[in-house]
Amino acid sequence: MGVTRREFIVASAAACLSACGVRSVSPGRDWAAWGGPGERDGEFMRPRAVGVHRDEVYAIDITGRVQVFSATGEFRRKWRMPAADNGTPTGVTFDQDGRVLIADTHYSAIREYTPEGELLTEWGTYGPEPGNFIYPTDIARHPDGRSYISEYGMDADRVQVFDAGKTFLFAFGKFGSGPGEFSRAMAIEVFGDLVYVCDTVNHRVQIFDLDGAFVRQVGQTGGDGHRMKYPYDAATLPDGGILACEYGNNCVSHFDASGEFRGSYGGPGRGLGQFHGPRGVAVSAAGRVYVADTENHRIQVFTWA
Amino acid sequence: MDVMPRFIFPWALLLLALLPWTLWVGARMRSMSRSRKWVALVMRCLILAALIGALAGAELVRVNDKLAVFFLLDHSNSITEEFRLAAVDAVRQTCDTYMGDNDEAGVIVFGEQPSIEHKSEPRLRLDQVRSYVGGEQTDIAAAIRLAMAAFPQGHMKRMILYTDGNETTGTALEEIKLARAAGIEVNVAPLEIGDSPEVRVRAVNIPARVNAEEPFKLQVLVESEQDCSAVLRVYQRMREGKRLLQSADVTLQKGDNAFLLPQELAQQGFYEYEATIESASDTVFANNVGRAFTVIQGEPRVLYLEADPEHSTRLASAMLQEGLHVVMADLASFPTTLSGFQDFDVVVLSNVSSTDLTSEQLRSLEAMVRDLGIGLVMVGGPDSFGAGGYYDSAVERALPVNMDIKERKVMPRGALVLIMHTCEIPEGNAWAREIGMASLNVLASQDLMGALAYLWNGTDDWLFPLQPVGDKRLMQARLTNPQIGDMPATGPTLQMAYDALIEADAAAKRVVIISDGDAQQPPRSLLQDLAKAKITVSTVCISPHSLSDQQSLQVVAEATGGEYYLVQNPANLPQIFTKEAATVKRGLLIEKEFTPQVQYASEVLRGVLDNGLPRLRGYVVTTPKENAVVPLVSDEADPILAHWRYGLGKSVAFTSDVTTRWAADWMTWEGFNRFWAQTVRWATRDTAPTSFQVNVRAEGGLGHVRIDAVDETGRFVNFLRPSGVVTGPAPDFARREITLAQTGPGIYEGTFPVDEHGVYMVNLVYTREDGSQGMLPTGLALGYSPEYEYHTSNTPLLEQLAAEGGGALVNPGDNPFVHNLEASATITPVWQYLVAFAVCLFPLEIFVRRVVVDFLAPLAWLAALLRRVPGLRRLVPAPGDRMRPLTGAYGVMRQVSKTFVYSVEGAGVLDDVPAVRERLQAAEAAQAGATDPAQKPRGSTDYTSQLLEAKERALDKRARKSRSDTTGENEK
Repeated sequence: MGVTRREFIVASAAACLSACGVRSVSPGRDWAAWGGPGERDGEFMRPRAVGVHRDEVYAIDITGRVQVFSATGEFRRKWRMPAADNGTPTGVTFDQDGRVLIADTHYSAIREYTPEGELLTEWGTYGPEPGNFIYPTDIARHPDGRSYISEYGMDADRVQVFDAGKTFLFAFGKFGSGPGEFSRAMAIEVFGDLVYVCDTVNHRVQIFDLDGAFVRQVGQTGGDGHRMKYPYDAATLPDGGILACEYGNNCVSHFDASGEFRGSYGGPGRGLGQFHGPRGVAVSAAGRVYVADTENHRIQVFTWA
Repeated sequence: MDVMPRFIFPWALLLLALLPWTLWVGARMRSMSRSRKWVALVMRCLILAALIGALAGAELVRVNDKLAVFFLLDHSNSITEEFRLAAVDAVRQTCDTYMGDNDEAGVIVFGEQPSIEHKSEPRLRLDQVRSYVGGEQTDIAAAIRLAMAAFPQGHMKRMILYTDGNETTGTALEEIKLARAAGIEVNVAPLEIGDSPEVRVRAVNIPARVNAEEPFKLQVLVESEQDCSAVLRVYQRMREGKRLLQSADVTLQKGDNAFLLPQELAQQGFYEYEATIESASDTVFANNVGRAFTVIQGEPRVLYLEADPEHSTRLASAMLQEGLHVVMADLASFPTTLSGFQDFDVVVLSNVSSTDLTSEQLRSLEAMVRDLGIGLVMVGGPDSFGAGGYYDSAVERALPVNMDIKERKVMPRGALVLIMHTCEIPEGNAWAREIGMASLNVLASQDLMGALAYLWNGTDDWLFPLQPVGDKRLMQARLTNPQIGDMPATGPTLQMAYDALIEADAAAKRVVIISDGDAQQPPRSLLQDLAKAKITVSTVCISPHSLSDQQSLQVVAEATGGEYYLVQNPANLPQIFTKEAATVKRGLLIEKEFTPQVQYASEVLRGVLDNGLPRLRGYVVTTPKENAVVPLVSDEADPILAHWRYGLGKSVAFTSDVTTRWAADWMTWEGFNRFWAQTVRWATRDTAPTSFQVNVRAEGGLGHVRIDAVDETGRFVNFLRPSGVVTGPAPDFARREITLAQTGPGIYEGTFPVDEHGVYMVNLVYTREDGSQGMLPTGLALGYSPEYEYHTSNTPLLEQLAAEGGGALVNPGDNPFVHNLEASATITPVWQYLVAFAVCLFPLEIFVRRVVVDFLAPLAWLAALLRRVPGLRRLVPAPGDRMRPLTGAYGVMRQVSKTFVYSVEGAGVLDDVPAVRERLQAAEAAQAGATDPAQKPRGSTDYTSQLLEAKERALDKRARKSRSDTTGENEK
């Protein structure tokens, strides 16, 4: 028949809710989760960053472990960040060569690893001056080698851009709530010729061109009555849309390329398909969405399409 | 698995002999049919058997062949990492190798306390030990107790104890006997520690009390496992640190080595010595240190701490001029431990805030007064008493006044909003509750309070909105289980606090933010608004990630005129919140001119009242305690000077200050010096120089105290009845009473338990024959935990444990899963089911005996019903003769009930009996006619009619009799 009993029930419930005038919530498919609180392999203590690359899922929790799983959640390997006493990374991403790029937020550094966990290079010094970092939260690398690094701390909310040789090029943005200003830039993504920055405390995702010129924003004026709340992370979709991981709404919300709200996944709770303070999201090539369900100490995964 | 019945009181089964008798008696019954009789008899026997079974305490015993093994791993400090890992390996390997389908295994780790590392499970995979159990003690007994509770039901049970047997607390042997009685076998896998070349300081001995400039010897006892060379160092510890007295290269021989070092002390005070030994071949370093005390008595010494040193000169010079020995302290040099106060006889705190002192210092100050008899004088100021956050503190308990001033009527009200971002500290919710309660307790019912947090559902919201404190229980309930989430930004909550406070009618408005500083800081415009509205924001930074986190909170406090606190230890949080809450209570400080009034001419006022007291310009409001003496009060009858005895010591509260702010007139008053000298002297500890020798030493887990009481003329002093208080090490300062018994001429001895390492303060009080009292302060220092005293395995104890536990000494690799134990059984009591069975069966038995059921009656009813259906009347036969009586009886019953209704309305039932009979007969006829018109009304052959006739005859007879009686009477 092609439709499972579970899908039938979910679809019927959604249909009933929309018939009753309740806003339809796109439920996602094939929800699954792994982890649980603990420090053994495959367990998490408040995972705060998640990334997916070549069918492998990378998750970093507050113990400073980078754990690597298969796409279905089997533990494969792990390594530890050099230190975790001050705090742990909030972002993990990958460049075209498959390097694992980790913004080690509380140590003001960017660390680059092989997928096996071998440290290739690390760079960054504490400081508010251009080229230094206070709290680097995430890194995105353009195919041309440029690195875009989002940052906050001591009014130094900004995005800094470095060339392939790690030389500081320019920075854009400052602390504030106007267009092009940030209050906690917690995550950054480069997609095509656009840079997406999660402007968390301003409850929006801002979009810039590669030179840092403000293009538009998503979230604050989102359609369908949805108001974004503390987006800690966002993942871009092949069609130019984004999935935003909303800490405050305990959901992952979908905005299309024009910034139109298309639905949200999840809601507050501890069950499957529910989130508690999620802080990270990543989408695989297969269309599976991996969410760092932080306060539930697990990674949740679903198919968004 | 076999299930067997068993009886707790088998003799009750003798009652089963009643069964044949019951059958015999029952078989003789002739009033019922044979089948009914036997059914009833069988039921009766079953009831009887069930009751007898219940009386005998029947239970079902299910014998199991399953085996559960608990591995108990010693993780105290005497077990090195190497041995711990070996034990974990051994457990893993034996489980991998020998564990079968019918086996379960669990792991308990123990040290100071036990913890279940793995509960009993069919699969055990022990990679590493994660439980933290504390290593300063070895409590094998507690581990056995926990294992006994953790064994699954219905299994054979075995424990394997991996330990060196160096038990420092608890009595494992007693516990093992209980385990054995519970059918648990205890095996011991000895951890053979101790072939290492260990060197340790066994003891440092000095006389507990010596006289100034009297030479004495300091003895250091060093124990070594081999001949070797070492370096012995002796230090004298002081408030500022420690001073090296001697360093010597020594040669140690195997066994005990004693070193004697001559010493001499010139000045009075409390002296602490420390000896260390260093050897290249040593293995455990924790036991290389030993400590000892001595006291040199002399003139009373005053420790004086003033918050602002600029103000300290006037009071200090007053005390000096009056001949007191004053030692000035600042916050850095103020003693941090109880033993640090032993050097002094009275402590004066002047305008010192409680937040400047650690919680240990606060507790030490109380213990110092209560247990050591050292005096405490608190002098007021804007940061003292309630305004200094002493409400509900240990120091408040020692003082003669309460900080709580709820009963005062005129109080401007304050408003306080707490913003809680506590989720990042361990036990964050519990701390949020603590600090909420601490603040709440300070505020009066008319003050306003609210609490804000980022809740776990993603909203910034009030835990309870800003409202009058009123009934604190409501707010306490809201604080009971706050689900506080990780706040991303403080802006929204601070805005909510601002919005609420700007509307509030309060004289002082305060916001306190507690956070790790990680949340995004609020917009500057909001901070400016707060400052403009005179709403101060204090920030408490705890566990910050970095300097910039601290700065972000500091900026908020500075911008609004609040306080900034950086807290390392959450235990200090309640103090801060107490102080912060007190700031909104401006009414605590009364600032106006008044002349103190003498309420009671106490001895401290002797000779200073001649020219009257000068005026004061302010004080801190307090409430006197019930037993306190209050010599001076303000014009509003609040205490200005109060004193009392607390435990062994005395304390004084002076609620005004000694600076120009409130006491400018006092500072120039001629009685100032004398007043303060008398006040401080009154509080001073009552120690007098004595020729008594006191010795305290530790041995076998006990502190031994001995007094050699010889007077100045060399005669023994008898019948002193010494007693006292032993105050244990920080942070608990556990307090124990101690009584010394006279064991010889002038010799008094007593003991107290020493179960943790640290400093034990011993304060002895004795009463001479003339009734006068004396005090002997002394102490005992244990340089290291008893855990480090042991450097070899306690093999005799291990053997004894194994023997008592019914097991043996085993090797770590031996198979623990051998099913050679007495099979364990699951016991299910069933007496209650038997009773229930009997109770249910009993009415059935009565039913069978008493009720004759006509099984054809329902058929008759059915037939009658069917015959009412048109068309079926001919097809369905009429009920036969056997059915009719019952239907007839039913009809009669209905008629009778109607008749009774009529009769009650009429003249009476009995008189109408003939009428009743007619009605019944008519009804019966109608009934019979309805079922079969051809049937004639039945005559006297009918059973009901017979009954009625018999009744009528009886009534007639009674009526006739009564008539004849009446006639007879008339005739008479």
